[in-house]
Amino acid sequence: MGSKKTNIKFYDEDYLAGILKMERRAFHRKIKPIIMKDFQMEIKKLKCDNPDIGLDSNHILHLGNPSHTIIVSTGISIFDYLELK
Amino acid sequence: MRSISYLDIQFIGNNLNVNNLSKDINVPLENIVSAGEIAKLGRYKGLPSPYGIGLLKIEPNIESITYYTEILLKVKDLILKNNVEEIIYDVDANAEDLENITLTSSILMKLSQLNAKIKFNNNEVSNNNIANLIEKINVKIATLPNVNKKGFQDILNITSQTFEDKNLKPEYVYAIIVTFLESLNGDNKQLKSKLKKAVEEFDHI
Repeated sequence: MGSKKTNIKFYDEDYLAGILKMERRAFHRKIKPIIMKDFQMEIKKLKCDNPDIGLDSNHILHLGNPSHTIIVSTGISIFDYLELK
Repeated sequence: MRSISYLDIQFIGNNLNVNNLSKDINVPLENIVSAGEIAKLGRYKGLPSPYGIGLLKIEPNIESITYYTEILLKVKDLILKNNVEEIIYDVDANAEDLENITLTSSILMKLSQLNAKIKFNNNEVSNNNIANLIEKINVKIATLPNVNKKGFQDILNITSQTFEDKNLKPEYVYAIIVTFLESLNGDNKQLKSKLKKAVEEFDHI
């Protein structure tokens, strides 16, 4: 769980949903609440309730406050949010 | 095209079993995950989930918010008994519907008694993220034949440095493409037609 900013781009829900090949609405409704709960302790460091979601070149999820001055790495890939069949 | 509006009430808590909560409070909840279930995704994928998340889908209007808040207040003790730690009203709506949700002091008091949060998300604004748009333009341009891709990339790089604001409007995207077209030499009639089509697609994102 580091906190570096290098090569992290922040995306909106449309884009993140596209990576997981799902509709934005499904991402917002089912995936985002799980991300928020999975990393609730890390999100407290951001001092905001609704962090921006970013990815690095390895598709690792990072969470940032609105100005992106505080960023925490989750250490897990966005593809871990693809559902097990 | 106006996007559809939604409102989910989220019930979240460590050790929350959504089906038990649903039965106890007699409200139909969708089980996203329950504590103890093997998590299908996320940080605990393949492991028993330590928490539960349940959703109650309601109409995105103030009448519905008031109606369900009153119902939930009546069963607040049962909600707490089922290990619910957070209740979030997640309003995911277009601008017009958001404007029509006026929270009165009465409903704010009820939400406070329920210890619930309310989050508003304009599901139209997020589409204007510059990084998202530029990514899509790049993908589109890459598929076009006979395009000076290097020149276009330079224009995009300058633009992304200039517009740090997230809300890049479609008209700016149009301007980027027009600038690019003007920088080209020769007959670009066919290219202009293809890019015009691309702009129309972006306007509909």
